[in-house]
Amino acid sequence: MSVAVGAAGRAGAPWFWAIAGLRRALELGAFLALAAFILGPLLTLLVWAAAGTWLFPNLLPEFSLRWWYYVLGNENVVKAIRMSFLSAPVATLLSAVICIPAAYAFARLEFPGRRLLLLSFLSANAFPKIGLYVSIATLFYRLNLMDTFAGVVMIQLINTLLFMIWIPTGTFRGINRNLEDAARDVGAGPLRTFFNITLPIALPGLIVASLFAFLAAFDEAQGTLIVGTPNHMTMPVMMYTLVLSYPQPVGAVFSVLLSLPSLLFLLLAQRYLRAGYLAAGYSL
Amino acid sequence: MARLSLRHLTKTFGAQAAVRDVTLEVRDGELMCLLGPSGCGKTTTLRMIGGFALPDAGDIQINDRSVVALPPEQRPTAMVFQRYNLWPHMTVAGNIAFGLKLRRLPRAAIAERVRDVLGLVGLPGFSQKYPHQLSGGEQQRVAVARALVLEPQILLLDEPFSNLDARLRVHMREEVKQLQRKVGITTVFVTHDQEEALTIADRIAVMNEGVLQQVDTPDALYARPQTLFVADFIGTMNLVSAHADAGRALVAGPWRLALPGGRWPEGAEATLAVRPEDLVPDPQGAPARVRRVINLGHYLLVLLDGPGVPALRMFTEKGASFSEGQEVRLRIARGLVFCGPEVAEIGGPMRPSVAAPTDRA
Amino acid sequence: MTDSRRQGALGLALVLPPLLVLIFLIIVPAVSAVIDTLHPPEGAGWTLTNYALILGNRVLRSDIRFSIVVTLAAVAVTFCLSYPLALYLRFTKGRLPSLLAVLFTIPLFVPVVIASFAMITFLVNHGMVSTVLYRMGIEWFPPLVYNATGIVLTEVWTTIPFAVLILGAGLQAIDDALIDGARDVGAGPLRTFVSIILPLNATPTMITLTLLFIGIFGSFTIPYLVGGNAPQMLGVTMTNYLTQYLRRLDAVTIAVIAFLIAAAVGALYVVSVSRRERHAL
Repeated sequence: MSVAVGAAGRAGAPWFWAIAGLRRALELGAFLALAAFILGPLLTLLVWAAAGTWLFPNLLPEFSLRWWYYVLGNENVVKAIRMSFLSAPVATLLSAVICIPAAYAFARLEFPGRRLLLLSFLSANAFPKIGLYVSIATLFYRLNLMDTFAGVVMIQLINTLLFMIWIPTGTFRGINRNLEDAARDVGAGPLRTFFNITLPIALPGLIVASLFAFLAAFDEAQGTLIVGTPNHMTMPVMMYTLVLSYPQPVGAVFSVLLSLPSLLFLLLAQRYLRAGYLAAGYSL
Repeated sequence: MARLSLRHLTKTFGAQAAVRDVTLEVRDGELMCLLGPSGCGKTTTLRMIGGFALPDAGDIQINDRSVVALPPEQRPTAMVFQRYNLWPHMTVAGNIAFGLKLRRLPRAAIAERVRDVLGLVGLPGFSQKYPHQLSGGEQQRVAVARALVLEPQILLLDEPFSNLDARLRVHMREEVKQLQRKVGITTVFVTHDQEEALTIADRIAVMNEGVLQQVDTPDALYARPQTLFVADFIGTMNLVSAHADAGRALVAGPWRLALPGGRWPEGAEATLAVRPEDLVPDPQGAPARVRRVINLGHYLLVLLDGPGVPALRMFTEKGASFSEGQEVRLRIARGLVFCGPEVAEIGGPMRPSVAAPTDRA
Repeated sequence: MTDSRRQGALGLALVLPPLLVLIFLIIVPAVSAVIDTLHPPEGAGWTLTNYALILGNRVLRSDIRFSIVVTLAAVAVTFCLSYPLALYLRFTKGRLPSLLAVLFTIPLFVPVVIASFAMITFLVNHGMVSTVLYRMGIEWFPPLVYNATGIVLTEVWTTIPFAVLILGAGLQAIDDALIDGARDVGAGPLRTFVSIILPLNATPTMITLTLLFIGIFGSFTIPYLVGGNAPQMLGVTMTNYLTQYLRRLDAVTIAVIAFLIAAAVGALYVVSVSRRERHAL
C-alpha cells in the first residue's frame, strides 16, 4: 500500500534518512524516548506502591507492603472505596436507563430538532468542566444538595451522558435496518423487534458504552471534590488528600487500587470489541 | 392461492415522485418481475407491498382484500432483502424458527418445519450454523427458507442475488425459479438485470422513473415493446433517427421504408428500432461498411457504420464471412417505429433469432 | 396521526429524559450562574461590576494570562509531538508501529488524578528521572514540577492519545491513491505533506487544536496537583474562590470569563471551518 519509506530515492529527504541503518536507529530512539515518557511515570508509581522507604539516590527502594496495610486499614479510605462503588454503578445504571432509549430515538426516528439535540450533548462537554461544576455548586447550595449522595451521583451522571448517548446512537445506527424489517416481516411487532433483535445485536456496543460511562463516573474527581466534601468523598477525591498530605507510597498504593476497575474493564472491553460474530450485524 | 393487485400506487419523496400511479395485477402462482434501472421505483413499490413504506395514494389488495392499512407484521407477505437478512446472533434454525415461535407453534412442529424447509432449499444439516459461517449464496437460501416456512401468500424478493458473483447468481435464480414452480407461490421479484428477468419471469413489469412502461411476457416484451424505453432496455436494439417524408414513407438513415397505413404527417420525427438479427445482407439494401467482427461463440456480432448511422449492430450465423472494411448492403427485415406515443411495425413477422439474447431453459 | 408525526412524537418522548438532565444539570445552572454575576441577588439591577472587580484585580489578571500562556504552550507541544506520531502510524507498517499504536493509547485509561501523581514522582527533584541522571553523573536538575513546566508536561502526557486519535482518523480518511498520485507526479515527502496531507487534514487539525485548548484551559486536577502556588490556572483559582474563600459570586464570575475565552476559541474554529466550506463551494 504505502508510502512506506524506502531507503533510497526519496527526493527532498535529509541526507541521514537515506542511510537505512541510521534511520532504524532514529526510529528506535524516538520510540524508546516516547516509551520512557509514557511508561516512566506509571512504572515509577508502581515501584512506589511496593516501597517501604525509598531514599535518594537509590534506583530502587527497600520493598515492603506495610503501606498497603496502612491504606486498607484507614477508615476514610474504606469509606471512600465504598462511596465510589456505590455511586458510580448507580450513576451508570441511571444513565443507561435514561440515555439508551434516547439513543435509539436518535438513531432510528425522525423528529424535529434531532440533529440540534445530538450536537448539544456534544457541545455540553466542550466547555471548561470546572466552570460548570462551580455553577452547579452554587445551584446545589441553594437546593441543599451539597455533600449529599444524590449530588455526587448527579455530578457523575453528567460525565456519563456523552458516552451513553453517542456510542449507543452509533451502535443502533450501525445495525442494518433490514434486520429489523425482517423481524417485522415474520410477524414481530415494534417492541418485540427491539427486544429480540435490536437489543441483542446492539449489546456489545452498549456494554462498551457502559464501561466507558462507568469509568467516567468512577474517575470523576473535580466536580465530586466540590460537591462531595467532606462526607461523601469518592476514591479519586481521596487521592487529592493523599497526594498532598501523605507520604508518597500511600498515594501510590491508592493509585493502584483506583486503577483496578480501569484495568478490569479494559480487558472486558477488549473481549466485546473483538466479538467478530456480532460485527457481521453491523453495516459498515 | 393469492392474487396481488396494485391500484394507482403513488409515493413521493419530497419533491420527487418515486412511484407514479402504478396499477398492476399479479396472478395466482405467477412469478412477476419488476424490472428497471436504478431509481425507477421498483424497490419502493416492493417495499410498499411488504408494508415497509406507506403509499401516498392508491391501494394494495391481496385476494381482493385491502392490506394497505396493515403493518408489516400483519401482512401475508414475506420478503427477502438484498442483504442483511439473517439475524447474526441466532443460528440458522433460530432464524427460521423465530416467526414460528411468534405464532406459538409447538416445539416439535417447529423443529419439523425447519428441517423440511432447509431440505427444500438444499441446506439439510445447516440448522446449527451461524450466519457468519455461511457463504453469500447459502445465506440467501436460508433467507428464502425463512420466508417460505411461514407459508405466506405473496413472496417478495428484492434483488436477492445482486450481491453474489455472476456464476452463483445464474445458479441461484434457476433454483428460485424451480422452487417457486414447485411451491406455486405468487412471487414478485425485483431486479435491474434484464437477462435475469427474461430468464425466470412469467411476466415482467418494466418501470422507468416511477412509471410502469409495459407489462408482458418476456417474449412479448422482446418482440413487441410498446415504448422506446422498453425497446432500448430489453435486449440489444439499433436505434435510428427517422422522419416521415412527403411520399408517406419513413426515411431512416440510408433506408426508405413504406409506412403501413401511411399515417404520420410529413416531417414527423420518429425513431426506428431494429433488432441486430433483423438486419439482413441484401444486394438491394442500403450501404454500410464493416467496422469490426466479433466472434461470440455460436454467432457473430458485426459492427457497421452506415451513412448517417454509426455503430449498427448485426447478429449473423457463425459461418458467415465478413471482414473489416468490407462494404455490404443491408435490408431491414423487421423493425418498429416509435413516433410520440405510437408504435408501428415494419416488415414481416419476426425472424427466428439467430442469437438468443439469453439462454432460456 | 400520520405515521411521521407519530414517529416524531415518540422520538421526542424518548429523548426527553436526557434532555431534561441536560437542561436542569447543565444549562440551568450555567445560565442562572451567569445571570447572578450580571444581576447579583443582593444588588440592585443589572451590572458589570463583578467583572470589573475580577478583571481589575492584578493577581487574577496574571492568572488569566498564565492560563492562556500555559494552555498555548501545552497545545503546541502536544500538537508537535502528535502529528508526526500520527503520520508515522498512518504510513509505516511493522512491529514498531504496532507497538507504538498500543503505547500511545495508554494515558487514555489512566485517571487524571493518578496521571498527575505519577508525573510528580517521575519528574520531581530526587524523583525517578533525577535519580537516573544523578547515577549517570549529572547532578544538576531543573525544577520540573510545582510550576508551569510540570503543568505543561502533564497536560501533554494526558492529551497525546486524544490528539493522535483525531489526527490519525483524519489521516486515515485520506485515500492512499491521493498520496501515491502526488508521489507519481514527482512530489517528495515534504511537498506531499505540505500540499496534500496538511490541507486535506485541515478540519481534524482544527478540531484537535480547538478541543485541546478548551480542555487544557479549563483543567483543574493537573494544575492543582502539579502546579505551583502562584500564578494559578483559572480552574484552580475559581475552585479556591468557591471552596476556600467562600466567595461564590466571584468564583462564578471567573468561570464565566473562562467560558468566554473558551467560546472565543470555539468560535474561531467555527469561523475558520465555515470559511473553508465556502471556499470549497
